[in-house]
Amino acid sequence: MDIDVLNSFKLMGMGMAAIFLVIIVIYASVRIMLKATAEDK
Amino acid sequence: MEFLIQGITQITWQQILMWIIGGVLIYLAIAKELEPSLLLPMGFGAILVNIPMSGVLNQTLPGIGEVSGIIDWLFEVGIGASEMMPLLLFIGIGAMIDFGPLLSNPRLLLFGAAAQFGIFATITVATLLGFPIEDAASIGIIGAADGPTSILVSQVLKSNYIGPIAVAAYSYMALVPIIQPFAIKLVTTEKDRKIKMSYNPKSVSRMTRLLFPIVVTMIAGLVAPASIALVGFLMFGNLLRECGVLRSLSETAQNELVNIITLLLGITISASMKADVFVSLNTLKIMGLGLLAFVFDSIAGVLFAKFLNLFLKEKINPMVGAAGISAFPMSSRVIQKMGLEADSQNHLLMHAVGANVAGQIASVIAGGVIIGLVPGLM
Repeated sequence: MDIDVLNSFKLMGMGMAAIFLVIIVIYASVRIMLKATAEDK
Repeated sequence: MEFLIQGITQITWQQILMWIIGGVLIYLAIAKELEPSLLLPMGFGAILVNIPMSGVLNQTLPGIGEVSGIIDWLFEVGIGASEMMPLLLFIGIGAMIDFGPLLSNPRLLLFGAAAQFGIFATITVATLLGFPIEDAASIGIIGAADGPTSILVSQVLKSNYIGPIAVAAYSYMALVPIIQPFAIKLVTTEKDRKIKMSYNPKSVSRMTRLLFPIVVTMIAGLVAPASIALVGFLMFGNLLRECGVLRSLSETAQNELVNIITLLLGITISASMKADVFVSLNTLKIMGLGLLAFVFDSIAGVLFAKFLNLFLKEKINPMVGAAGISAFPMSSRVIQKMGLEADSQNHLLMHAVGANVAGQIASVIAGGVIIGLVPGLM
């Protein structure tokens, strides 16, 4: 298989993993912020 | 008197085709109101740069030497040198976005991530069609459904196709109300579309709204440093909005800054719409791949929502997943309309808006991730 096609699969795996990682960390941070600042409403 | 007909004798059929394309873009902008703020300047620019010996482009004049053209100069300074224009536009976009619906239901963030799958699926299809990885990645990013991100990524990766990519990105964003219902109906049943979601937003403290842009910038910067310019400028704009003490700067970012940059960006992009580069079979391929990216994005968002429903007591309407693309606010309006079509009491707007702004964040992260990863694969 062409090297660029193989690289595109690699990019898909690494890219989606990186995006989900960042989003999940942001999600966890938002939950913490919402809890920690609940009394400031 | 020969110089008077010099321009006419040098016209090529490719240039005439570009005038027609420019005319079509202007028509779509005025008659159909499809993204007029971008398509009209791009259409007019396409005509400007395709007039033989056009003075808006750099050229060598006999006896004088190299003379700068305004559109080539704008491209070099505004996009080529530092990607200034698309980045500044993000300040305005950030200032326009209210992250409230997302913060009150943060799990919607996940849909933003899932709906970026179309980018990567399209990159694979583009490489199968023979595009090298840097061009394939630039084409795939059309699936970010975000014009400035597409322009920035294709410029950073030095793609030869920035013109067709920008045209595809903005055209398909305007066509979201046609593309998304088609894609969503491919993977949902009437029963899926009828799923109702209660809306009980948690109240969001001012402190959370203030911390959110800073925290997102820090996280994205630390995990995916290449995304920091995109995410950072978007979040800077949002901090201007939320801080409450810079109202006039926030309004300037939302109005004057966005208007000035948009006005210049469209006509500047036309520097990459010269006939010798634009008129090729690859342009047609890119238009097809761009459409595919939007379809893949929508399908991925819907399927992810269906996957989550396997584990959730309170089901999510799978259409909300499709709003995870960043075409804001068109996508959320499409989902609201489709929800009401399925059931006149099915109001999905606020859920879709949350997923839609999540898509805005995820798409700039995707852009940064691609900029960070692709050079290592070249």
